Amino acid sequence: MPVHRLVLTALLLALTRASTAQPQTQAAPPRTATLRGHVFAADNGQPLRNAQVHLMRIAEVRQESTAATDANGAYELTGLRAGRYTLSVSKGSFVIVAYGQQRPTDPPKPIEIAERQLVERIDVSLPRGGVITGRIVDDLGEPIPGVSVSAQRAISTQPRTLMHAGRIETTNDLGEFRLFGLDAGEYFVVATWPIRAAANPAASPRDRVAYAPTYFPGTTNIAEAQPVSIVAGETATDVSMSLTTIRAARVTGTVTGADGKPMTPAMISVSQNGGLETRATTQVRADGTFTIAGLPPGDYALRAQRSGDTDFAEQATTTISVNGDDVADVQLFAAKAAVISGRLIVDAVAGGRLPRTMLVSIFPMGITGVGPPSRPARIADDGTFELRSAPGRVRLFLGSVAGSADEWRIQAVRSNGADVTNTGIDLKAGDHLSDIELAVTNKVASVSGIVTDSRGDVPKDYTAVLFSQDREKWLIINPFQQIARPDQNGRFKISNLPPGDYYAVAVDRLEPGRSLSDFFERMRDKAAKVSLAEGEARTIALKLTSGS
Amino acid sequence: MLLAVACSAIASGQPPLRDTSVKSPGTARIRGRVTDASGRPLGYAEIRAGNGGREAATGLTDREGRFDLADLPAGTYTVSAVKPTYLRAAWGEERSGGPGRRIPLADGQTVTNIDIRLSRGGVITGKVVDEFGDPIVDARVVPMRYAFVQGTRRLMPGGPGAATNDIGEYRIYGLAPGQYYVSATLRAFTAIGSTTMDHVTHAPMFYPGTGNAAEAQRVTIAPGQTIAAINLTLTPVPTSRISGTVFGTDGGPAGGGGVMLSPKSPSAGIDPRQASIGADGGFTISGVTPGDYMLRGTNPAKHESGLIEVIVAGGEVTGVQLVTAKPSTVRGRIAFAPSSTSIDSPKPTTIALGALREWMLGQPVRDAARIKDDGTFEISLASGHVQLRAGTPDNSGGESPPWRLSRVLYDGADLGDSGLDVAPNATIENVVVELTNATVELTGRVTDSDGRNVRDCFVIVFAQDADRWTVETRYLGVTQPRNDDRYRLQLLPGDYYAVAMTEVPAGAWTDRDFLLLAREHATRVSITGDGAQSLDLVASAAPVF
Repeated sequence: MPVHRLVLTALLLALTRASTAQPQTQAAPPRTATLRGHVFAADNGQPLRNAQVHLMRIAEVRQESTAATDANGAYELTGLRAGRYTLSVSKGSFVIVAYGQQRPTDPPKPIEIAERQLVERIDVSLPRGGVITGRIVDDLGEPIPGVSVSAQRAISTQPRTLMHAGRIETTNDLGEFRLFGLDAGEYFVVATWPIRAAANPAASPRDRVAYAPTYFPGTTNIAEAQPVSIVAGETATDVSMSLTTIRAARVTGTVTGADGKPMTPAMISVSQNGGLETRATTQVRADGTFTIAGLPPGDYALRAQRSGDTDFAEQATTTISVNGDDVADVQLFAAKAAVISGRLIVDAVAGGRLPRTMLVSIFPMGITGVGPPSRPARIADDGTFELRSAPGRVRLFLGSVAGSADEWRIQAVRSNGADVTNTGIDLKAGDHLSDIELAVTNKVASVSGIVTDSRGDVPKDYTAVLFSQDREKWLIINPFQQIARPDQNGRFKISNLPPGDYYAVAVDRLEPGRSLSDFFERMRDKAAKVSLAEGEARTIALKLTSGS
Repeated sequence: MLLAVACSAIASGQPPLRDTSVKSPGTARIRGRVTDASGRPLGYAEIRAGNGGREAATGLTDREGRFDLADLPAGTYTVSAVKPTYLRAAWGEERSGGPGRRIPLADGQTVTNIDIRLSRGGVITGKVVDEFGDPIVDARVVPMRYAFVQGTRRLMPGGPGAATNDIGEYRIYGLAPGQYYVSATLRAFTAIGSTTMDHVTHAPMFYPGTGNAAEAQRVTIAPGQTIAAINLTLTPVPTSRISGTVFGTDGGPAGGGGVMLSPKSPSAGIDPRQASIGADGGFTISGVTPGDYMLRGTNPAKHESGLIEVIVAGGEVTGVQLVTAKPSTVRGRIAFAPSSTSIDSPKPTTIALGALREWMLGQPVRDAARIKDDGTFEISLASGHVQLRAGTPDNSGGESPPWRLSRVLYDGADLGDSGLDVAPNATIENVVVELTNATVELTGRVTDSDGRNVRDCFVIVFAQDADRWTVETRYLGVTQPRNDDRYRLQLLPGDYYAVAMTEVPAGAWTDRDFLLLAREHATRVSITGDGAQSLDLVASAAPVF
């Protein structure tokens, strides 16, 4: 599954969840399948009891079912729909891994479940996790409670880029933290002060004090961070740091409505610029003024809208920089939302009926961090839709209420006959664009098949990799390259591919953290060529090669 | 980039942390020091100075615990200090959390030695294990305290709580002194729209090992105390799936609406569950632990709702049938008793009138009336037992007595205390809601047993007739002594108990059990319609229960 699709799906789901729940009108698929297996400790093979098992439906990025293992380490999930799933398991200090993974960096194996099928021996072995403990103090040597501490892996070195590996823990009143369930390897330990901006300064005990993000062994410069080495099942103690105290600020200002009067009753929210997560929300006072307290230095986006305005009919946004001093007289002026309406054009070759719960959503291009910009709109039975959005350049995305539109994708977006699929639509306050054509199809190309090794046997495990023949498309995030692991029957399947010319290769193991283009370059000669037309489903046979 | 700038400002020795934040044009100054209980200075403590109830300035202590709030306008100040893991304290407070002493400040004056001692918050630690004795990760442990909400004494979170780590350990800190009940719950990981759930879950558990809040053991925390080994075992309980159908008054399925399942009695750790109603009227809620629940179905499109009790004892609960009803109507008019002052009666449309229900489904329910200029009103509401309550906001600043509810007349009887039974689909006409401003002022002093004035207390005056202890009763007055050490209350004529108590949890006076205990310390007083009455009271400690 490509990364970008996962991220977008998560965003769409978040938006869908924010909108009111809509009734599901389609007949529910039968829940007739059963899945069974055991959970073991990887080092000694002992069964693990009370391990938590989570089954995720791949197409919908949502949980199908959960269970806990019994005293013998056995679990059973019943009442399942047919489909493709991944199964992940967690237990105490053990590393969380999915079926088909030996380590969390391996790609998981899908589980293919048919109606009324009993799938057995879906067993998972959990590696014992490493632990990092330490203590966070301020520049006076006093413990700081409430600091977020995380273990992060380097995903690139120049410049050094880190990614969370596991959970974020919070220091207690002694300044102590404990990171657990870590896979063996090298980690950078990062301490950050979470923004807890308060609408009401009197209610916040952390109004004035913040701390600079700090990397072990105690530097604010990511390049000077030192990794901590973790061995399975062992504890690295005293990974302690001292943080520098910085001053948090208060932001005050006014909000003016599109009518030129104080915008009230209204709510104003603050988010870190570039992020979608709201950090604080407060009421705009009757005279249009507001106060937000406890903001550490940084760039923030403010967004105000009238209370009860669920259609985002009128919004005021601005961005501010905070550097320790209070920021006064921030002025926000509301603009009326732009309206986009149009209709769906279904690809002539598409099979099947459009799901009745399809949604279309808007995202701003170049996220400005002003939060979810609009509510997704439901596409009416006659294929028309209407959306409201804050002004700016936006793109349209397809979503659904219950994941039923997963097989559908946008082919093209046209405004006034011009193709704006990739360029986006420029919206001005109060605009009404009524001629948007949204061309959709459910004809997505796919490749599936089997793999044999040099002796002609079907290997138990492999990773199939599909990538474009066009070097220009060897980017980290793009739909032209995807990987797949064999399901429990040894078959792989890669779907949702754009039409194009591809290389396909099956390797024994994909080393994490290696350069993608180097890998593609080495694999090119060993790979099979596959050309896919729009909506084409190909079946191929691949020979196993070495990935290293 | 910006962070680096901020850091260098501090590193270069400038004192930006000591600035007052709110630019005030005054010339007065307050200086002092913050220490811990042993006298050790506390740096980076936040200082807040209030002037006449408004925040006038804030600051931070330096490394030696000193603070200096400059440029203050003249006024009467209170100063308090806050630091994480310590208990907030006001200068001159007589008990933890009590009000601070006032500091009169003239223009140009500097007041020094405003020294504040902070005590550490209490700590509770322990371990949570499963039925095998294995540690449980991510159990949520919450310190619960009794609080009074709309006439019900219920366990509410008394602090942020903590989650257990991989070895089952938790540590809750920053607790105010007092009594706590420790509860542990294991929230199942439920991703967005989980479709089926585990058939077994871990029910909320109270220390030392009971699912029943009434059997929980109290943990008493003294200032700065750490209480360890508050250990809990979470055992699995079977969960049930509840399914059924919701119909409307037209007999058709209530598709498009939603159902909400709430525990019948407020209990720790069980949140209301919601589900949508399908086009065929069907709904399903899974993962429900055993207990008595109320299931409410609503159909917003048709403005209908219904309520049914569901008892879950493990095993599937299928075929629950719920019929929603159209809202009932109460109509009548607002009347004003002859004014006791030269002030005219207010416009009827300014009256806040509504039908109030006893605490229900974890939410107070109030249906507001639509009032016309001629004083007639209409309330659209679901069936059930309600109290009609009305009044005007007292914004005269004590210049004139407010208008308050005197009687609710229906069919020749005053239903002000007993309330009104509204049948499903009913229309009740000719209800007269009468307001009066002819209240009597009760005033007096509160002293301790040595005759010293007590200001940090509540004066609670409540009806002798326990039938009048209803939700938002007309026969209750609560206040605190003012700056002149006198309390003042406006009351309707009647027979009352009066009591002055220290350390009363807010809202306790809405609880019948509290009033029963408070009655034993109370003085009887009869309010008649003949001008202001005086009653001095001796403060007593609030009953502990």
